[in-house]
Amino acid sequence: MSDLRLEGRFGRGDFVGEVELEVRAGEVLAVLGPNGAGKSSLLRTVAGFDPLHTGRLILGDHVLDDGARHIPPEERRVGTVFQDHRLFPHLTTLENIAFGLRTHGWRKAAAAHEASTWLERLGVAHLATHRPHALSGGEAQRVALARTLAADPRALVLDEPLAALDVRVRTEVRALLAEHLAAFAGPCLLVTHDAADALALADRLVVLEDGRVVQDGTIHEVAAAPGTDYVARVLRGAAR
Amino acid sequence: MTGRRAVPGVALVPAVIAAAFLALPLLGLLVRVPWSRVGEVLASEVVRSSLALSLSSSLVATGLSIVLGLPLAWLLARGDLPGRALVRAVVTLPLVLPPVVGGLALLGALGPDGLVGAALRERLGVTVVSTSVAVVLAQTFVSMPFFVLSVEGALRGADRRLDEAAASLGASRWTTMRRVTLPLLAPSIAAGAVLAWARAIGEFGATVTFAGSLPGRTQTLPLAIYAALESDPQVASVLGLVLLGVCLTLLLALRGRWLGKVTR
Repeated sequence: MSDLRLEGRFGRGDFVGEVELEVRAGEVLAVLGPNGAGKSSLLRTVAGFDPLHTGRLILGDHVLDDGARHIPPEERRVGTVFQDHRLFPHLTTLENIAFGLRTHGWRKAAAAHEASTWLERLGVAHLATHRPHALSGGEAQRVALARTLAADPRALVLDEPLAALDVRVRTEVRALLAEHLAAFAGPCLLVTHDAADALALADRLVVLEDGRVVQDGTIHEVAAAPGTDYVARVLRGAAR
Repeated sequence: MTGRRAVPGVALVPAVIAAAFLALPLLGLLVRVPWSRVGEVLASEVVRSSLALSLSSSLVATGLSIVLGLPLAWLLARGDLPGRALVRAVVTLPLVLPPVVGGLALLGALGPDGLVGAALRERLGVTVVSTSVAVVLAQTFVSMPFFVLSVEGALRGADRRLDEAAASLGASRWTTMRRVTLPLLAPSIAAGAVLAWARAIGEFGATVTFAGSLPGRTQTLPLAIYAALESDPQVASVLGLVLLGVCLTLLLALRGRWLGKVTR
C-alpha cells in the first residue's frame, strides 16, 4: 500500500485553500476545522470530484492530479464515505455493496457472495434484501461503509461519516468504524468538525482554518498546545 | 383535524365549471353514437386500416422520440453545449407551433422539392410524402418535444450526488448512466413516452398537411374521423368512440404501473 501526498491549491468558486499534507499507508489523518474551513473541498479534491488548481496529488507512485492532468474519480480507487450515505435507492443493500465489485469486473454471483460477507462483517447481514429507504441512519451508514470497503480502495476519504447520526447510534458506528479503519492498509483521510471523532479514529490531526493548515501533529501534541482559539475550544469540549 | 377547508369556497364555482366543461363534450360524443350501427362500422375496412395505422405509427413515433429524444434530453440537461438555449428553443417550438405550420415546415424540408426531400428524390428516387413514413415523421415532429422536455426536467432534478457515489466506486460515466441514472429516471421516461404517444395518436394538422389523407395509406384515425364527418357523421361518432377507447385503455393500463409513481 502507498502514501497519499497533497500539496497545492484547491477549492471551488471564490474559496481557495492551499495545503501541504501527507497521509502514510495505514495511517488515519483527521482533518478538523470549523464550517467553511475547506474540509469538504479538500476531500472532494482528493476523491477527484473537484480538480486541483496547482500542485500535486499523489497516491503511491500514481499522480492523481497535477493541476493540469486530472485523473477522474472512477479511475482513482479512492473510496469515499459520505455524510449522507448516498446509497442507491433502487438497489437492495446487497446490490449496493456488489456495485463497486461489479464495476471492477467481478462476475455477478461472485460479487453477490463477496457483498454478503461484507454485510456480515458490518453486522447488517439481516438487511441484505432491504432497500435504503427502509434502513435507519446507523444501518445505512454501515452499509455505505461496507460498500466503500468492498470496492477494495487504495485510499479512503470519509466526509463527516458520523455527523448525521444520533448520539447513541453514533457511538456504536464510531466503534465499528475505528475497527475497520485500523484494519485498512492504505492511507485514510477523515474530515470532521467533531474532536471526539478525531480522538477515537485518527492517528494524527491537522487543523484546517480558512483553507490553511494552522496546526498538525498527534492528538496529544495538538491538545497539549492548541494553536488557535478554535482548536482549544473543540479539544476542551471533546475531553470533557 | 381542525375542520378548516383546504380550498376556499370562492374557488369552488369555477372549479366545478371547469370540470363540467371538460366532461360535457365527452358526454355529447357518447350521446351521438349510433349504438345500433357500432358493430357494422367497427367491422368496416376504414376502421381497420385507420386504427392499425394510428396504432402502429404512433408507437413507432413514440419509439423514435425515446431513442432520439433521450440523448437529446441528456445533452440539454447535462451537456456542455454551446448555444444550448437556442437548441432548447428549437426543441420547444413544435409544442407551440400550429400543427399545420409544422406540416408545411416538414414539406419544406422533406417534400418532393424540399431541402432534403429534393436530394432524396433525385439521388435515391425516394419520396416520403403520401406514405406511412410521412405519417410517422409528422407525429414524431409534434410529439418528441413532449418527451424531451419532460425527461430533461427530470434529469435536471436527478440527484447528482449519486453519480459521485457511483464514480467513487469505479463506475464510468456510461456505467453510471446505465445502472444508476436511467433506472431512477424510468418513471419520468415512461410518463414522457405516454405524453408523446398521446400527442402522436391525436395528431391531425401536420399529418394532413405533410402526408395527406389517403385511405389505407396515410389516413389515421383522426383523419378518418374528419373525412367521415362530411360523408356520414354517425360513422365519425363511432370512430371518435374508438379513439377515445384506445386512449383510455392505454392510460388506465399504464397508470397503475408507472404513472402512479410520478403523480403520487
